[in-house]
Amino acid sequence: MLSDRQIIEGCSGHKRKSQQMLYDKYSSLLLGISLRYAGNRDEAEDILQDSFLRIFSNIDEFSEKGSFTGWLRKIVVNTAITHYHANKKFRHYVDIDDFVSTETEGTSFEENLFSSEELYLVMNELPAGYRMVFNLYAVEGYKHKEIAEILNIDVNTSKSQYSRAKDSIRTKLGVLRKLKGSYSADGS
Amino acid sequence: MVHNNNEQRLKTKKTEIKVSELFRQKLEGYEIVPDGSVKKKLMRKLELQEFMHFNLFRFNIWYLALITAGLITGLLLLISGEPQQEQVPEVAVKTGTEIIINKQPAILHPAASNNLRSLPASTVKPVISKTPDNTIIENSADIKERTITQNTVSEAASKDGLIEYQKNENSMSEKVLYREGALFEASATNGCSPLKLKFHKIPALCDSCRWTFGDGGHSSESDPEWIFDTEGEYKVELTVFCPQKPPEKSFILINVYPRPLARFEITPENPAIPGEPVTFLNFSSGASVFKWNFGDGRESDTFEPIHSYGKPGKYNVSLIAISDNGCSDSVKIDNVLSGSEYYIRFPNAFIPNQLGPSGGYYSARTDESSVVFHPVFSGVTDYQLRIFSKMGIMIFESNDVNIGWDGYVDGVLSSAGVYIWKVRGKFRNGESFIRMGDVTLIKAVQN
Repeated sequence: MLSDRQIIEGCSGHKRKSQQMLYDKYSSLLLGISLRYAGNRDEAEDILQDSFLRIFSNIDEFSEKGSFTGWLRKIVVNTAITHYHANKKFRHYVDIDDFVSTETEGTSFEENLFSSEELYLVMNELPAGYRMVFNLYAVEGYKHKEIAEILNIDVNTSKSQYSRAKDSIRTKLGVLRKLKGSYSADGS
Repeated sequence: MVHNNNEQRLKTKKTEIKVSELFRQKLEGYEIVPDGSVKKKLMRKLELQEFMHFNLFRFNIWYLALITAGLITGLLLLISGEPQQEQVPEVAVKTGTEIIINKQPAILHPAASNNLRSLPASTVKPVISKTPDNTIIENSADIKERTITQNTVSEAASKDGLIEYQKNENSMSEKVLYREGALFEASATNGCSPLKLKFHKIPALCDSCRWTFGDGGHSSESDPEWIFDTEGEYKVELTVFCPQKPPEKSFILINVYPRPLARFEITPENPAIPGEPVTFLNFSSGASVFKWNFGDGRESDTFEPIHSYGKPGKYNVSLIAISDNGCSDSVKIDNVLSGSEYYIRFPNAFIPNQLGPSGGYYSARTDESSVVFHPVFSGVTDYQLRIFSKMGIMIFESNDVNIGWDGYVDGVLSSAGVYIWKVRGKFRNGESFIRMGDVTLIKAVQN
């Protein structure tokens, strides 16, 4: 397999082979990212597709200094944000599940109790606004101030949305853990 | 079960981490293999994108356009290269300001041409009589009018579904002005945009000709059809080329009137029926006359009518907006009252307060911890909620939407688990609803 450097050079020359290679190498990782931001698999794949179109047309802008994966990751996150803004008007509702916000801070979970798939599921169930803020803050490590600028919201909104998202996730995980707990109790 | 959980938590306490860390560790680098179709779609999009962009070394739309243009010019050259040899009858031609009699152009009186320009099609009179040469006076009897029911434009528009252009019988009916001796005839000289016209060259003339339509378009067919998309005045000119003669020209002025736009909304969006009057907000533009049909057999022609419906139902409301020129547009909203935001939704779990029964009172603002099982709703008038145990025994009933179940039966907290609920009632618009579902009663873990 070619190195990243060779693939990038090929892509910048619009070589179809190199573009396919880039896709094959990174699409799984990037779908993993876009699925965190999307409400479902279809939307995630849309984001993935748009991200790759952006990647291919802007490949010349990648400077060798930074990490290539980091650059790709950033494009996916930005594309997801664009999607979020574009679809925002369809997302005025707040789901009823969200109404439940129970346990206070300090709740933590066993690291290996939940599979990644389950975490994705929990994530996808969040309202889009919460999901954006949670992802950007908790996983991507943006600051609330940056998030406020990206999403065009108030800093305090970002903070409160993050805390509500966390509450919601905790509740969902709590229910999930309860289910799992009862299963293992019955099973063993 | 709760006890069991606690035990498990204690056991695994050492490996516990916070929610944000949990997600970062588990999902930051997680890979999911996308569906094969995604790659195919992407590659297709990529090809299209590259096709649309110019690239010196790749076949793209610019090259395609170049080739097409080349082919068309070649064809045109071929056609114009062999002009038809036909006898030209001696014609006197009335053409707005220019009159060609036996190849001698004469200029029409300017006032006359202005006159002609402002007259609508049906009243075009042979103004030519003002010209010095009496031989070309046209007899008005020579103007044969044929009415063509040309509804193609309005039919095409009505396929759109929501918006239906209303055809107008009065001023817009299309007529062919057949002129003896003119170079061509047109199916109309005015109309509403988009206006589709048919032009017909008098066949006896030389076959080689060129039309210009005044909007940048041209044609060399003998009987072209042309659609004028935007409003304005267009000069349609025909030039006929005959061998060994200077080309003959003739033109006509076409008036295309703007099409108005019909739009409306209702307020309030969720009126209480019967009783609350509905205001129809008119957002139409370019129109002066309005015709409303409220779908219950009643009509109005005021700008913004207020209407009361007698009973709930599906009403299809239509509005026709007509401009001063007689152009019209219509819009129809089916089931206008159904954009209602009446809803009732129930949560799937709640956590009763273990300190004692609350009587089921709640307010959406204070019950954030969901200690009472209750719906979120809008526009509910009649309401009956019943809760059943898994054995099918009714354990709770409420006829007030503002009172939910606090989890207690006869002062005793029910056990954790799944309960069945059934609700029936009516919304403000008269629509009735029945919903069923289950709810999990969760007992908060007490540390």
